[in-house]
Amino acid sequence: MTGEALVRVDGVHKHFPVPVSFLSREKPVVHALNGVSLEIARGEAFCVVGESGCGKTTLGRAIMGLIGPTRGSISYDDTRIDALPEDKMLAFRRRMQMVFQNPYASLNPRMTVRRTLEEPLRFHRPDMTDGEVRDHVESVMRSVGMDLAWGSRYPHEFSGGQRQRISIARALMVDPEFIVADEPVSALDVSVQAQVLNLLMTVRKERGLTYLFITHDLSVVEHFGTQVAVMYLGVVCEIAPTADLFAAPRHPYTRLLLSAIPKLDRKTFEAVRIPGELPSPLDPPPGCVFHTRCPHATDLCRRERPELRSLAGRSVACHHAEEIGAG
Amino acid sequence: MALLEVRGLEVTFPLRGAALTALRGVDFTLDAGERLGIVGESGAGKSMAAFAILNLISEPGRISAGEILFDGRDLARLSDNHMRAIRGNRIAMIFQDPMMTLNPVLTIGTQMVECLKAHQKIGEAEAKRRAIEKLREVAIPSPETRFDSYPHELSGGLRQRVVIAIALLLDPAIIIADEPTTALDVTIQAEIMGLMIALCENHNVGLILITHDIAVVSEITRRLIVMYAGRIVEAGPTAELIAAPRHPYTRGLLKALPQKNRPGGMLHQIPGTMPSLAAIPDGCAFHPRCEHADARCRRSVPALRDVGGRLVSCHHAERIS
Amino acid sequence: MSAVRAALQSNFVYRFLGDPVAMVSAGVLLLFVLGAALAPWIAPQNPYDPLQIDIMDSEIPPVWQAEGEARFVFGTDAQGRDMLSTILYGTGISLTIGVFAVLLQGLIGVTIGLISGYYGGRVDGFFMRLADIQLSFSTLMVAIIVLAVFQAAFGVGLYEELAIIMLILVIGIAEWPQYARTVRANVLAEKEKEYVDAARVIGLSRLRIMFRHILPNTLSPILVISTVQVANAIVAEAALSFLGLGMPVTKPSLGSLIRAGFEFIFSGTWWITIIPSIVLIVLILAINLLGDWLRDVLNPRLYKET
Repeated sequence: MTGEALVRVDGVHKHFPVPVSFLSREKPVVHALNGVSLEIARGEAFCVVGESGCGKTTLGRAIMGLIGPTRGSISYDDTRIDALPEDKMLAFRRRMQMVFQNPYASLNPRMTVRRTLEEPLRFHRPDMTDGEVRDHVESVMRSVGMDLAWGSRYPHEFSGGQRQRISIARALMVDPEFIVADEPVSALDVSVQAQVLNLLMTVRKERGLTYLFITHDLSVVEHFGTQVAVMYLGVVCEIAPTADLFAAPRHPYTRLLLSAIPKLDRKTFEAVRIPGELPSPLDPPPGCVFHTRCPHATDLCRRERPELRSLAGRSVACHHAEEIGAG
Repeated sequence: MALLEVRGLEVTFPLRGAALTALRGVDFTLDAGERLGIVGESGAGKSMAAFAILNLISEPGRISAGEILFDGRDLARLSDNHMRAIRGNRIAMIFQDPMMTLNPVLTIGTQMVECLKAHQKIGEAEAKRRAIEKLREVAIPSPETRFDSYPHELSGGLRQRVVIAIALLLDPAIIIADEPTTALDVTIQAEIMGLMIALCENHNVGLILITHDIAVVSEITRRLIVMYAGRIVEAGPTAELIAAPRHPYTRGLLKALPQKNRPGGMLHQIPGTMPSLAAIPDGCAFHPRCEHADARCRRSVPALRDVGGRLVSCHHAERIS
Repeated sequence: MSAVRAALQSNFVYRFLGDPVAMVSAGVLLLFVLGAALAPWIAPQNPYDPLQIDIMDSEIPPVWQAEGEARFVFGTDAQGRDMLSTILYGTGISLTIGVFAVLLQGLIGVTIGLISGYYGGRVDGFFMRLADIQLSFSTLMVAIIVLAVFQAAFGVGLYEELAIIMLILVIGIAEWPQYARTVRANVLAEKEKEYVDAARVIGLSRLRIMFRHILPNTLSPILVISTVQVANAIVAEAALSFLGLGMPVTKPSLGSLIRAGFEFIFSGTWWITIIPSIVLIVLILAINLLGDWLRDVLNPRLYKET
């Protein structure tokens, strides 16, 4: 499945200023991304998983060029795209598209489904005639399982799952090769979630798409992903092929996350009890960001930030990964 | 005798001449210290059931039939004043959003003391002592200082702990929790759920957990009710129900979970979506999405009946299991 | 657009028919608009035509008074003009000024609000401070100064010719911050929504996103404040006329009629001022009630569910 790197994120930082009174001397910033590096190979269904505030959404938006990184670089197909002017960026906009989390906000309520779907085509393919646009829209609608009669209706007439189908169709309209999907099923009910996940898997197979799939739901990752990156407080903790990660998590945070997923066949409830709450991203702890909640933390962890390093076919950012993996 | 007994509960909303029935023929019981789960997708009526028990259905909706027996009284017929004495006192509620319960402009201590003094004749100092004790019980670090915090100074997980502490304040017999952890991260969810189980066991409190997440209820509850389009479709012991669901909807719901599928393969999916209250199909409400549906399902509503120690409302329950 | 309009309309019409206040207000407003628009055909007299006016008919009381004449239902004013005709024409002038002033306010305010909200930062700071300054002068004060200076500089003759345009300009320009603020607040809320991100991901230009995507989603609040603003503009014009800075007596609006009659109120000829006053109050009330109803109906929280 994997090939050369399609997307390369290198040492990306993103700091958001916190709105304060203009008289205030301090200028606090939220460290949404703190030196994130990863590569997404062509054909991969790359999942980014983490809890709220870990920076996964910021990462997706930075890759899509919706926000500029404070530091670091993002390349697409060996071209740096993080500081590209909008006119140069257009060529990439056709190749990368996005599906959003909230199906109730991601469609313009005042535009019919047909107009929503036609817009990207009319913009990127002015050479197409009206007939060609209509044919293309209809073929994409059919391929995502939409009824052609939906075209003349407005978003508010559809359920969450149907809207997410429309969003996927919009993303597919310009025949992209890479799609960032930011929590595309987390607002949906289980039975509908299955429909949308199946659709995403089908179009990936049919069109040879590469995905960056952002989610907090590990059971979805296990089912859907080929590679997983686990994020915590703006830092990547572990990157591994999905099966390996779920079979033998190396980073203590990954282990915590896996133990916390509610499971159907577990009879009693026994989660790993981790003291403490998520530290504030305004003031991330020094050293390893996870040390405040980590049962294995030592002085080294409090002092020095662990870099991502290769270990047994994966990357882990933990000083004690060897011991933890063994135990 | 059961602590709470709900019989034939029906909630209707008059709308533009027609009446929408949001809840129809809901029966269940809850024993002291029992943990009961109600699962369903959005629009199934599970939250409506919780609100109905507390007589909190918002206008113009109303309980149009059935009874809710608690402490020998029918809550469905109780006046607002009597109901207020029961809400929060004997039956407490935890919402998905802690800010539904917490007042943002008062410290959590003030809110807890006020709540205590409203229902019991006790002094300020005694109220404060009891409030701090409850905060300690829900594992809030340094409860004495947190007592003077405002809700916005706490993280989401801590806020939900405070809400649980407030719910437990008057030693209720029942806690109704409506999606208490849906807004929280998985690691926090695990902690809160563990805490709720421990507290319910220690105090012999009955818990009604309402959620869309079958995996969560499976870990927490002993009995489970599955709702679809305002009706109960299946009810029984949680473990058995999840191991061998009888109603096609429950089966479909479980099979759709990624956990139940081979990684990378297609997920089992139920076609279509939950009908809106205004357009519930005739006969069995699930029939348009059901692979087993026949003419009978389209015509008559299946009654909730005992099938092998479990309640199922499906004409074909025997054949399917 | 037609499909959503049809969908909305069912709800719209239903809510409308279920609300007697809205129906009566709309009926009254429609009556005024029709009366004003058809004045040249239905008015018994053309009050602008000196040949039709006889000074001998002056100060005849309304028809239900003992000295009333059937020719003049609402009586006549000091110059012998038929009150009913003058009111019909005057309502037209008041409505014209109100509607056009609001169109002008809307044009300026919506544009500035859209730019402010979408670009944010310094652009936003500049326009919003400008709005603050504008709001710190009351509309009437600005209008009084501008109109008085104009009258003094160019003479009453030219002023009377250009009065309508001057009033529209002054009221229109003075009130743009209402629109700008409403639109800006809505744009700030809308631009955080994911459909705007989706448009950016497509690569659409800022202008196109602003006008094609964001603007249509801020129309409901614009519509609601427009009704209130029309009422405000009519009142402002009436106030200016009452002060003698509005429409001239030869081409009276409702305000100038009230003013003209006010001089006679203590001499017993009350109808010249009271009848136009009642007309003005009813008109403003109808517009405001309709605006309230519209706000309730267009409140997205209320109609999203249906």
